[in-house]
Amino acid sequence: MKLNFLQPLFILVTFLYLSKATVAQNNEQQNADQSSAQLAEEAQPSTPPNIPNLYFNTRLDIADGLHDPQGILNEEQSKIILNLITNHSEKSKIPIMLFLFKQDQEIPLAESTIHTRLSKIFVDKDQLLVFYYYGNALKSNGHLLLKDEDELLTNNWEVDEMFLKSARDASVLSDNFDQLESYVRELSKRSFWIESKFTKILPTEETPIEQPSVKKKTDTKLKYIQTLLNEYFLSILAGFIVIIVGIWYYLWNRKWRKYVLPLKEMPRRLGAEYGATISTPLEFSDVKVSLSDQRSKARSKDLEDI
Amino acid sequence: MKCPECLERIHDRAEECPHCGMTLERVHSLYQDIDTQIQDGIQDVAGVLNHNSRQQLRQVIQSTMKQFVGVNLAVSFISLKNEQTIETYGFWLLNQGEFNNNGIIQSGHEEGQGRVILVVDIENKKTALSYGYLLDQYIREKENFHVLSAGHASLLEGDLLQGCSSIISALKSHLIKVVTRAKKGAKVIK
Repeated sequence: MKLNFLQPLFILVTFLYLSKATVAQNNEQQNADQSSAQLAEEAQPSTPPNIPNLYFNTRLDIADGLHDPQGILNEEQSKIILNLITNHSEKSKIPIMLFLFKQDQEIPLAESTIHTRLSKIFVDKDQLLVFYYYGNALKSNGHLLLKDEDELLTNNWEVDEMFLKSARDASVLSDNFDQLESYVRELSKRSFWIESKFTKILPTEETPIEQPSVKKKTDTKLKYIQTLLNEYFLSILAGFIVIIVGIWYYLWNRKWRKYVLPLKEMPRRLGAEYGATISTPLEFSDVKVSLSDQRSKARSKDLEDI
Repeated sequence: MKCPECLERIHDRAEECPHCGMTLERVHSLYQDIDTQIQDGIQDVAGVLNHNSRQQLRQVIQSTMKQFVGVNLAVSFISLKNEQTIETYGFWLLNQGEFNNNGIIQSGHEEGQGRVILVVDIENKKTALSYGYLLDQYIREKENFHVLSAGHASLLEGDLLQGCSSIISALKSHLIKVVTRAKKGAKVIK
């Protein structure tokens, strides 16, 4: 009897206890989630991105010309900038590679290290490397990398001026993205002069304009020669005659030039008044007796005498 | 210096050859019957030249003589016999020859010392150059051989005119070279 009376009470107590435990557990989990989320929120601004790894990694993808690992630009903005860079690359031999940073960020690497890493990333490429600080165009700078040079072309006033003037023009605008867009446009325009100065301009298939100009030049030269011949024909003819006469006179004079052999006092010998020298005779009796035989014979005779 | 007869070396002031006793007087007895006249630079005792050949050879000789003041060039064709040799004959003719060049010889040197005679022995098929004291200092034995060998091919073929012309031309070139080289000593007149 007693047991039957206590059984519903036991069930109620057990239920109450279990429900309380479950609520407490849920609360604890919620608190833990909240605290972890709060921690994460607090931690995000305080840990800076790993810039050397994000921007100067040797395995960097450099295909499209825009490097924005921090997602500073949205998709639409990226497309606009990429379009500008692609348009530039189609016309220029020095493509632009844009590294996008936040306005207050710094590159925690020595300049020499940056140069080394960039040279490794862009092997055998002519490249215009731009470090753009989004929202602070005037802070932006860049380097010109030429494959013919051993290292980055730095400390060149023309290159520096190109970056500086592009930044100045862009900084006039108030909107950050407009600044970036203007900066890329200006840089693309100004890089033409740098390209013509630092790279060899060779005729390509796309620019066959030079051939007609060469032909035109040749035609002009021919016309000039024709005019000369027409107008100065007599003068040219007279010039030729003078030259020919000069050459003829020189040859004639040379042919008939007279030589006086100076006489030294020579002693008389063998009772001869005029001379007593006779050469070794040359035989021409037999074809088989060659000149070289005769000469060696004469020489050996001379040697015997000595 | 060599003795024209025995070809032994002698002193450049020797009155007679110490080896064979040769002098001009002694040689003279060998050739006294030969005509000493050299007309316009040619002596053709052997009678090998026809009229045209003689004319052509004369032109070659005269043009050379006009170019070199004091040089008196001649060509002698002879057939030597027995004891006669081309060396002694050249020596004898150089000193005994009577040159008649119709006024071509220019003044400047004693006429005989500038003599050069190209002797061609038709009988023994030999040729040699004999020259006076003036040319002694300009032509050496080695150069003599070089000059004579210029006409060797033509002489072998029996073309005497061409052979002699070639030898004279080589002699001319050699003399121009020598004079140009010794500019200090040589006087060039126009």
